[in-house]
Amino acid sequence: MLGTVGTWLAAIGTLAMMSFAWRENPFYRAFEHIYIGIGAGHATVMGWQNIQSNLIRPLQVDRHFLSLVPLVLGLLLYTRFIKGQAYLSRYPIAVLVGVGTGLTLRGTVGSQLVEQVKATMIPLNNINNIILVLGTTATVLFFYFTAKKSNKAMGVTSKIGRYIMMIAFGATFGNAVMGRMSMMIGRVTFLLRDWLSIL
Amino acid sequence: MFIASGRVFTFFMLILLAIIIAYYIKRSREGYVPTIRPIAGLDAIEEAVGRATEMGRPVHYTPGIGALNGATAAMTFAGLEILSVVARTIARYGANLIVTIRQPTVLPLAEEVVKQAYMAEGAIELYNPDTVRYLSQEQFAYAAGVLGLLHREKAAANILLGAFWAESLVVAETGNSIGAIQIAGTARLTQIPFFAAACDYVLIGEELYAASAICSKNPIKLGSIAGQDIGKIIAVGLLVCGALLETVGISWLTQLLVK
Repeated sequence: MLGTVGTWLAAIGTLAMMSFAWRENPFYRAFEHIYIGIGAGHATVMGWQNIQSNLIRPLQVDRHFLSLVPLVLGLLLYTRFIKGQAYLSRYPIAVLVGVGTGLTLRGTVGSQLVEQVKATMIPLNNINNIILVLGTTATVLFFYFTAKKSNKAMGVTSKIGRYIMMIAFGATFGNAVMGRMSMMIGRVTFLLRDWLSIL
Repeated sequence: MFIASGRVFTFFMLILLAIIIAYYIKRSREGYVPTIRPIAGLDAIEEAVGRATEMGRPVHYTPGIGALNGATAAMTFAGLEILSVVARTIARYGANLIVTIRQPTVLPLAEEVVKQAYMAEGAIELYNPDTVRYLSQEQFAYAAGVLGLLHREKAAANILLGAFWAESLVVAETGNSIGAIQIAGTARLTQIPFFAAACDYVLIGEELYAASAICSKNPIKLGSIAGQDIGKIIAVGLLVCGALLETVGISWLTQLLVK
């Protein structure tokens, strides 16, 4: 019974979202608000579960008092609602950004610079490799921002880089369209098979 | 060796880049501020706001759906930096701005940025606390909210600058269908094709960060862009030398990178 109710709700929700392809309408609008409401409810539950698993349990069971540090930082976020004390909410954000940046930096140079350069150091003995090396060079130089306008060589190279990127974007776009079509087929299959039992 | 095997070159590269960037930041602070090439999408902001003002319709802006930590944080901050310029232009023109937010931690920053922009333009009385709207942390609930909002408010301009995932095409296509002038930018390579297909102006990859540095007029950020440019020249030099050496059968440079 519950499964049937779930299928009907999912089917109606799917149709409501798809109806946007025709135009913005009350059916879509109702489900847009339901979706946002469910999202808020889900986030609240997940938030509470996070507090339980990362704060309450470590404190009660493991006596892990360091868990109080994120609690204090989390509470400081709410000081922005206290007049005159709002500046305190910047500290947890600073910690969040600082830790996040530090952790990201660790892998960025390796994965996005050295590994990419290494992968492009290939012998120029066939047309594929030549296109790869020239294309990568031109694309990197497209992102050279401090070049003078009078530098014609840089202008031509960056133009080639732009065209190469557009070709790559075209291929990515086509690939993504195929992915979206597959999602669409999944939804239509759900409607026809699971909901209407036609298939 | 105190550096893990396979990471020696990466470590020294990181140190070298840090020194170069620090040097250019220092130079920039001393007054040698680098000139950055114009970015079309950034120049179009004034046009987009002017159009929205003439039509009496709002401008929709989103700094992306990325958080303040992790790999996409820089994009979110770039989006917030450019939001400041957009909000100042809007305050000057007296147009309407709607900023939609997905991440709760971004909300206070976006509110602060917009409020400061209105104050800087001496138009704080025009600031509406409902300008910045938190929609949902759920990715597609947020997207659904933006779609409905774009249609109901009939936004004349749709500006999407930050980190985006699969919702990018849905939002950009909706903006296109309502005839909004669209400026989009992200450093997430998989989403740029969608913006290129559906938007009038696109900031490709690092152009987003450069645009943010231009908007901030901050010598530290501008110096950092100049330092990164040197890093790119080093990278190009390495890959061209490496490819040429590999062609003649010498692979010591490639081996060096593996160390």
